[in-house]
Formats: sequence, C-alpha cells, structure tokens
Amino acid sequence: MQFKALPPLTVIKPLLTAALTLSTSPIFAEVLEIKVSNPDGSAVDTMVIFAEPIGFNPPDKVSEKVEIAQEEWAFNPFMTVVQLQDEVAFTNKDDFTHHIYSISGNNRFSFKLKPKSSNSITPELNENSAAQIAMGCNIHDWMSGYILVVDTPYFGKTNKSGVTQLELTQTGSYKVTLWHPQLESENHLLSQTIDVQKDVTIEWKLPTALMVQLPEVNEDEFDFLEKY
Amino acid sequence: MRNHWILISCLLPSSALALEGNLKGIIDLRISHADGLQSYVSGGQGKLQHSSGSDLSLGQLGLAGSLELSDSTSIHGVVNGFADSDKDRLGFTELYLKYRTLPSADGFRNGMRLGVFYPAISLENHATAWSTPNTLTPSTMNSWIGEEVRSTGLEYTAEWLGKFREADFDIKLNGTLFLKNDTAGAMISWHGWTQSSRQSVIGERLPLPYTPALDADLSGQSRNSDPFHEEDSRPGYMTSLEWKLHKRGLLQFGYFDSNTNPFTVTNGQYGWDTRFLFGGFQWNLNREWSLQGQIMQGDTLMQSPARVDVVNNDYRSAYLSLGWRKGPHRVNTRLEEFSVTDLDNTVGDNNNEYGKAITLTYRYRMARQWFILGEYSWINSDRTARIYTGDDSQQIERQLQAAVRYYF
Repeated sequence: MQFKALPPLTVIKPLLTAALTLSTSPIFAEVLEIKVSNPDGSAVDTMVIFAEPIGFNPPDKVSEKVEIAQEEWAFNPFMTVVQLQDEVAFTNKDDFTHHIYSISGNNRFSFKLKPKSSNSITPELNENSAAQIAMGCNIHDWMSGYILVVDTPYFGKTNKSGVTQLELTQTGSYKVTLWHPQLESENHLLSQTIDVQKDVTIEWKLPTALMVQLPEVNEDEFDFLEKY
Repeated sequence: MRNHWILISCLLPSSALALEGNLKGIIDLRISHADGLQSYVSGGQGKLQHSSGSDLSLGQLGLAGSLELSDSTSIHGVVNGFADSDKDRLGFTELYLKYRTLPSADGFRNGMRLGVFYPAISLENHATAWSTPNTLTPSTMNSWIGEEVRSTGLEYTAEWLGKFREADFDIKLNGTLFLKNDTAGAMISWHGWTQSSRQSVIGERLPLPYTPALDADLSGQSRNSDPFHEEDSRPGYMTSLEWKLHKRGLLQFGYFDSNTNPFTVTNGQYGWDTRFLFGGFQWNLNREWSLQGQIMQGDTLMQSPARVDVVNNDYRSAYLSLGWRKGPHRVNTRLEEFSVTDLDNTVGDNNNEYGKAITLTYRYRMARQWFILGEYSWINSDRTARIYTGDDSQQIERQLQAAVRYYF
C-alpha cells in the first residue's frame, strides 16, 4: 500500500474547517480518496470500500430504503451496500415470478416475488461486524446478487477509474476495508488502518488480480414460460 | 405476459390463510396437409399426426395451473386439449404435488413430486403444458413419451448447484418410483414409432391398428390400450443423471424399467415389461447455433398367461436437431432414425419396422407471446404390419403444417 499526499490545499478550506469545528455537528468532511488497482496497475471498479471509526462513534444516519430490482433474470445492482437499519426493498420488474432467497448467517430469508410486486427486509450485522449476504433465485439458479451490511455511514463503490471518495465528518483513525464477493482473500475482505487528519488519497494495490465475473445475461427466450 | 392471480382467502377464526394461484397456458391453432396413411391417432398404420388430406385443428390447448401452499410446496395441474379430424380429447395430463427446498450452503437441493407427471426424459418438451417451443412436433422418441410413458408416483431429485462451489456446472440425480404405466410398450409395438404433439390425457384409450393376431393369439387384448393401467401393483422405476454446464449445454443419461409382470392380463390389458436406456445432450455452440440429440434403446416383453412370448421386441430411436436463431427467426432441422425388431414367433403380429425422418421447422416470433410456425415433416418407413391392411410396407409420408401459437 502506498500513501500519497494531496497537493497543497486552498486557503479557504482550513478557514472553513476551523469555523465549522465550532458548531456542534461537524458537517464539513475530510475526504478520504481511495484508488484500487490490480497488481498490473489496472483500475478495479465496483469494489466496495467502507471505513469504520476506531475509538469513536460515527454520526447517526437516517435509515434509508434501498432498492434491488429483479430485472431481466438478474439482481440489479449485482452488489449493494447498506447501513445497519436500512431497509432493502426487492422489486420484481420482470413479468414472471422470482423466488428470492439467502442462506447467509442470520440474514436468511426466502420469498416468492410475483411480477411487479415488492418485498422488504432489514438486514442485520453478523456478530457485530459487516455481514455479507449472498442471494439467489430458487427458480432461476444462475441469478446471483450480494448485499453488504455495514455499521458505518462511510461507504462507497469504486468508479471506472478504480476511485471512490468517502467524506468523513471526523478526523481520527479508521479501519478501511475493501470488499468484493470475488476477492480472493479471507472472507473476501481486505483491511488496513488509516489515520485521517486531513484529506488523503490512498493507492491500494490488490495482492492478487480481481477478475470480476458478473452473471451472464440469460439468453433463453422461453424462460418466461412454465418450466419442465 | 400477464399472470393471473387467484387469491383464495380462507377466513379462519384467528388468521387468514392466503393461497396464491398461477395460470399459464398455450393455444396452438394449425392448418395442415398430410400425404400418407391413416394416422395412428385414429388407429391407422400412418406415422403422422394427421391422416391424409387437409385439416384445421387445435394443435394444443394447454393450461398449467399451480397453487402455492408455501415457499417450498405447490400443487400443479396441467390440462391439455387436442382436436382434429382424427380425434378430439381434453383432460388432465399431469397432476402433482411439488416440493423443493432452498439450496444448502454447499449448494445441495432436494426436490420431490408426488402424483401424475412426465418422467424427466424429453429435452424437447420443456415449455408450458409440456409443449415443444422449437418445433410443432417432437421427435418419435418424445412423441412416444407423450403417448404412453407417464409416471404416477414419487420423483425425488438431488441437485448440486455449481455456483455455491465456484464451479460452472450443476449435477442432478433423479430417482422415480411409479405405478399405472404397465401397458407402456404396447403402442410402440403395434403402431411403431410415430410423430405428434399429442399427449394422452388421463383416462384416454389408444386405438390399436388392425393385426390378424387380435383375432387369434391376441384375442384377449382390448382393441384399445389403456396407457394408465396398473396390472400387478409392482412399482416401476426410472433413474437419471444430468450434468449441466452453465449456458453451454447439458448431458443426460438414464434408465427406465416398468418392472411389470409380463404374463398377466386384466380387462383386456396385458402387462408389458418395458425397459430402456436413454441419453441426450444439448450444446449451445454460440448465440445462434445449437445442437441437441437424444437416443433411446430398449426392449419390451408381453407374454401369455402360460408365459409364452407373445410380443418380444427391441426398439431404438434417435434424433439430432440443429437450431439456428437470430432476432425473431428460428430454424430447426431434425434428423431421426428409428426401429423396432420383432423377436417373437406370434403369427399375424409382425412388429418389425425401420424408418428415417426429417423435420424442418421455421418459427417467427411476432411478439413476446405470439409465434407463427411452419413445419415440414418427411418420414420414410418400412413396416411389415401395413401389409395386413393391404398397404405397402414401405411408405414415404409427408406433412406440412402452419400454426399460430400464443403463450400466456
């Protein structure tokens, strides 16, 4: 891993930061920018990154409703990150039934979703740490999707350039974790501790290349029919 | 496509139990012109679905209903109707309770069916109400499954899903125990291999073509075979193994044994000890081209109460199907070869036959659920028993069909 200092900041920002630290709730953020790359230097996109404060609590966050669509025989998006207490709504946008399930730890669920219908779950953590939920459809076996449940408001996904920015409201030490269900590491996670006192950019090189394989688009035009 | 919902609310003292139903179906209207012998459907020695001449017919009216009892348990009923100049029938073709678990953490899944259902053999009949989405008529092998092979019993399936092991293939093991299929083998002996999208409905009787032995050694045999007859209360079994490579194709192997006592007769229905091996493959070469084939080889034995062989036949049927599709167009070419070899000495009941068939099908998808299909069938077969009705044993039969299909 490599740390790289950002270019000198403008004059205005320290002034603003100073002014805002006087208020009760910090609303200005230190930006933690992370760029993830493969060993060969190529960018890794759709990598999930989350940061958990070490020794202090993150700010409260209003819980949100996050939607995962079942569309064209696929979970859309393939990977979803939610904060604890967020509600996850599954909406079947296909015109045939799906049977969505998970057999992951304490986030087991199973329900049939008729066309155009919706159902919600509120996923839980796994023994007080981030929970990975692998989902499938018991009718269309090749469908797969993932949810990561985190107990922090600081999370994001890398873009095409392998970059994501987390806006942290407090300075201090953070445990920063990368996750991808196809990451070849223990529990598909990689972590490091980062001390954030000002805006920082980190270049994070994976030990082994991540070959992302999204589920292939289904090509059987008759899958809307009753199957034998 | 629209799903049709039936919400049945049973108002109980403390809670309401809601059962959800689902109805799907197929309507297939056809015009056809056939050039051949009287169809086997009405008791002739012809191999085509239609007797000679032109016809406007209901190729299939299929309704597949299900009722969800829970996430894992459901009841399924399939009603099929067929109407043409040779025969009109409407009735249940399948009725079963289905149970299917969720996969375990290592991808193992159990499944069960209890009731009347098709044993998992055909690779062609995989759409609503056991229809064939790519052709108007299935191969001779699967036409026979639709006519005479039906399981009334219990099917257990064990599946290992590859995605839980980071493998790209699934394995499925099937074990089925069944009753009420003790005459399977009669029609393949007495009319041989045929080609049709018809399916025998529960309770249907199948007319036998004339053979002189029906007035002699076979005088105890009814003129109509009951494909749902139980002769000896002994269950038959079927077992198969399927290996499915994601997106690319599958391989199947299986064995069927009716395990029937072959020397008893009740109400004009003999017991037939019918066994066959089957195998098949599906291979998607790319987005446009696909290849499918199946083969079945077996024997059937029917004896007199004195345990003398009355019908003892070996039989075989195989097809190879090449499909091409692009946009709304799909073209299918199927080649087949089939035979029945008569090994008994019964006078006036020669079951020998050998034949080849070509089926060319074009399908056009007009809208998501609407299809038009055109199909040309050519069957060249030599069947000695045709001489009993004054026809030449060697016949080339041809059939042209055009159909509109609506799946809902």
